[in-house]
Amino acid sequence: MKRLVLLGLALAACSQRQSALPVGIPGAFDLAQAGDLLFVNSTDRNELRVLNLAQSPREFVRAPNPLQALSIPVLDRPTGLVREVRYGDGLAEVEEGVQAVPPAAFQEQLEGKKLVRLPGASELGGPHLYVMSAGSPEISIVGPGARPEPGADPLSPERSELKELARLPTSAPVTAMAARGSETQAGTLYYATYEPQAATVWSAEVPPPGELTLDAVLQSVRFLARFPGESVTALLALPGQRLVIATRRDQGRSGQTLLFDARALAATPLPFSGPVRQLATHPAVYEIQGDQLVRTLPEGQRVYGLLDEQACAGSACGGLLAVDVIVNPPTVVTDGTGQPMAPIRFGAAVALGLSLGTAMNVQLPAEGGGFTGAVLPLLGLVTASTGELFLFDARFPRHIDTDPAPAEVSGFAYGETSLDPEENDLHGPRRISVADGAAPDESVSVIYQGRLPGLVDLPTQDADGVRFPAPEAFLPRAAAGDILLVSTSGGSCEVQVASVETQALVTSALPPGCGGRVSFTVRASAARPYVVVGSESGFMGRVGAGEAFSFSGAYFHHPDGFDPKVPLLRFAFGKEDPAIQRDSGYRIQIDGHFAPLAAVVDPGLTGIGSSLYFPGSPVLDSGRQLAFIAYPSANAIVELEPGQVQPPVVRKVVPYR
Amino acid sequence: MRPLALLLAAVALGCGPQTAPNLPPAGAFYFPTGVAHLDAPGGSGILYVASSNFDRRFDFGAVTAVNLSGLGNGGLPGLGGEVGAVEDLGATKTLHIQSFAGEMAAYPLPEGRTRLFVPSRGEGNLLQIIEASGLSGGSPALSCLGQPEATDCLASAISLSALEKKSPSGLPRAPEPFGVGVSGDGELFVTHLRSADSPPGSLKEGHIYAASLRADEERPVVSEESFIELGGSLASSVAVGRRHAYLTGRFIQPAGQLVRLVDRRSHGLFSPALETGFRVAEARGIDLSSDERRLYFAGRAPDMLLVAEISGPQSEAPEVRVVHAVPLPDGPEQVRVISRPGRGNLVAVSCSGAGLVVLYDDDAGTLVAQLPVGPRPFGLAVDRQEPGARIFATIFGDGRVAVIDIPDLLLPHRARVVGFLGRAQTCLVDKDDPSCQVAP
Repeated sequence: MKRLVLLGLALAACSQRQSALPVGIPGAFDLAQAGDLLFVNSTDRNELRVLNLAQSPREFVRAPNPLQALSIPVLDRPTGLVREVRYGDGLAEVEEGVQAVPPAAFQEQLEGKKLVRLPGASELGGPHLYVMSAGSPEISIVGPGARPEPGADPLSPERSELKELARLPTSAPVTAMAARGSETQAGTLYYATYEPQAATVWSAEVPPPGELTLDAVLQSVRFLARFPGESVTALLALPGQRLVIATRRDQGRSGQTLLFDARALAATPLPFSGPVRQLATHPAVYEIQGDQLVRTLPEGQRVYGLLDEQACAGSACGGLLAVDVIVNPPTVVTDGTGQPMAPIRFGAAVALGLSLGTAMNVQLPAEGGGFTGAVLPLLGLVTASTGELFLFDARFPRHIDTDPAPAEVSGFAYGETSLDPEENDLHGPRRISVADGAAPDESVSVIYQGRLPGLVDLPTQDADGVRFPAPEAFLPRAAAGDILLVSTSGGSCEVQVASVETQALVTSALPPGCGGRVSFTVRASAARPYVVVGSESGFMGRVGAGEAFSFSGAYFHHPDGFDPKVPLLRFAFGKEDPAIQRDSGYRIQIDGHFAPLAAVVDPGLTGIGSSLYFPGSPVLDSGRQLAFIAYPSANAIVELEPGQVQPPVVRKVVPYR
Repeated sequence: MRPLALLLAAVALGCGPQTAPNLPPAGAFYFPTGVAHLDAPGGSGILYVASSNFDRRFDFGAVTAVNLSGLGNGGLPGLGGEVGAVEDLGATKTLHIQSFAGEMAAYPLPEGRTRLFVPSRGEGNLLQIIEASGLSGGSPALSCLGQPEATDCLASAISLSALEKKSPSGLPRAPEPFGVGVSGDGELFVTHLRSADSPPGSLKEGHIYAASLRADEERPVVSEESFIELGGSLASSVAVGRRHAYLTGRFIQPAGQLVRLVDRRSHGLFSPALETGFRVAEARGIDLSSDERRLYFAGRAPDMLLVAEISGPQSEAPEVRVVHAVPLPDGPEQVRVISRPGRGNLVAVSCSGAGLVVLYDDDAGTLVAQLPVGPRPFGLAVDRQEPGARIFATIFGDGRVAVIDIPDLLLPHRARVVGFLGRAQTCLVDKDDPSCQVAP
């Protein structure tokens, strides 16, 4: 397989395993990389620190008094950083025999290497960095004190005069920011403010260092959009004066994500499946296909969003989704199976940060076991509240499953009696089959006269007569003949459901013991008395003796060969055990054989491992093939090589703190 | 050497002259911790503040009641009005309690009476119960439970280690009681900050309990049945709902629980295992939304406000899941929910290390105000004054109470610190301190 190796920054990088002298970064939550500089916030010290990535061994950028590390005082309690982003040419080395397809172009031979120019493949920072503090109506603008020489890196590590250039007052607390750089070194800042009546998105032009005055910035502030009853959770600057705006309302249960044209002030909805609370995009992605080097994704073609976990209850919420914003209308990205991607979920964790890197080394499962090195055209890294670092394929978005075995039924029992899931001829389910990708691991219960989820412990009152109002969404789970178990102030009673209406269950006349009713629960009965509930999937359906059961919910993961038409779980229900009792039944244990490429930092690492349990923002540095991750639990930045990560632990990190 | 040491001990213990007790100052707070606000007819209400006497300068801690309409400046102005620094608290009423007071809970009784519960970590591991009866002749009416004339509430307090001598195991007991919460129907829960070793003094085992008692009994009592063994890690604060009490855990690694639930019907324990999905090192203050479907609590290391959703809060085993988290300034302590009908909750958090009280808006999903109040804010009490609210925050490191006004709960970013109540405690102990001089 021919390989593509991104150069440029990589040429300057050397491997090193020594950490800089400690400076102290209490409250290190967020990172922003600008060229060779990595900025980190120190929330508790109201300052930024800057790690020089070009230096080996790495050091924090020094202050004008070089005995000290540089501290950049900013607004109180800085919580969020953004840098100005624009996209420029990248440079890559390819093997002989590879043909570059435009816009890629061969540039030169250097020391026998074949170099290719890759338009849009490199993220270039502008001269400014913007800093916000949750709840504060101001933004710190940080940059070099003087205008850089033409052609010089505006944020060169040698420039120790990095400082807060201005503090921009805003009309209300700032909730999100994004920034775009330009070749003229004047930047555009986008920011959102929040007042309970409405969120507002603004832009401001920020002149280059040396010309920047607060007045000039204030005079350029422009209204872009207003969102009544919502707050803006994330902004993302895309090429071509486009902006992505994510909003939230109703405590995160709803919201919208819009592609916004900052020139025409026109918005297009993006088809994320729920409210989004963090956004990311990518530089141009190039891949070698056969003997050709082709651009498979122009810069900014896709928007990746972390979904808000509050949108619904249960583990089926949250996760990551990608939307193609170049096609019209924008669509959810298809994965390697040709189907719209399944949201990439992170179990019980809350996703904390997201970064994307091109042409990144990674460890993939090898045939026959173990791992083998590979290059992914676009790699994603998500940090999670469990301490896990998830690496996923962002080009064909899905988890990298390191367990090659397909999902299987690993246990099947009736009470304490184990049964054969395939050949069970006793009673109950048989010929059980589960689709690969149906669920990570799941315990499925098939319960006789089980309680119907969503129709449990619902309030009721005598004044409702024979009607028992219930949530509309759950009523279709009930059927005539089901049992209504009514709790009363003095005990309980049972009555049969006569009919199911759109907003209530209806019974025949209630027996005298049902007076003073307080709450009710519906139990399955009649022709389908078995309730099928999964620990991950929730309510899956009902089944009765002699019936075939099939559950066609959403797949958790799309493995190779995925066919959306195949139900997730199927079985045939044979005869019924005449002795079966209410609330007893069958348990089907599914082993999903799903092990995403994820790892935590080894807590046994000397000196710091035990404090590296809670990560913050990550940055993937494609040129250096490194990841930098803020760890507020350790008040540190950690450097690691994604190309060496194998589950379950990362054993090699370099801390800076 | 030994005879001399014995002689000195004898002098210290029994032969010294009787001295007058060194009482905490009346009309001032000293290392204040727990706080409660109660309405009073026609006025700004009454503020109850526990002084913890943290450096033991005095022989006691205190609970001080302040008539907010009778302050030396004439009383608190309406919401949003400037309060300034009010040193003269007017006609106050002070009762003495054990040192190292923790949180404070208030439970309303019939006939306008309210019981205040204040655990103290000093000797005796006491839960002090104080009855507040509004105002009497413009002064707050306050008395130790069962001793209307006494000013020392230690004698009437309940010891949470009284059973220590009743059995060889010394159990159950709750050394260093700290957190306290009460349900709407009167069940009180108390946490403690030191595990109970068994036998006492052995440093072996290490039992952790929540003490539960009725807040509305004429003379609440603690018996063996009052102690619910929690296991795991020490509990910090407690929020009590209709079915469950939710207790946060301190220093949960490697085997503790971030939040534990006690089923009030059975006193059975239930852990939603939040720590497996969200790995902060420990949790502190906690509060519930009024519908009990949302739980807010302060995580530490890193410092974050965690928002959890509760499904089936009245069921035996509710599903509790962290759905959101935002970074907080250094050292979050207490958490108070301010409900807004038809809107997401506001949540106030005292951040001890940063000297701030912050406001989280659950509609926005972010902090919307950071309010500098002074060194080491701790307790929070809320006085609803529609359409806004007034927050009282005890400032442990300063000895005062900050007054924060939110004129309109729909505009929480306009909240501001409008003043301070009490005299800085540096001025209580050193009147010559230049910062304490009153300008001519």
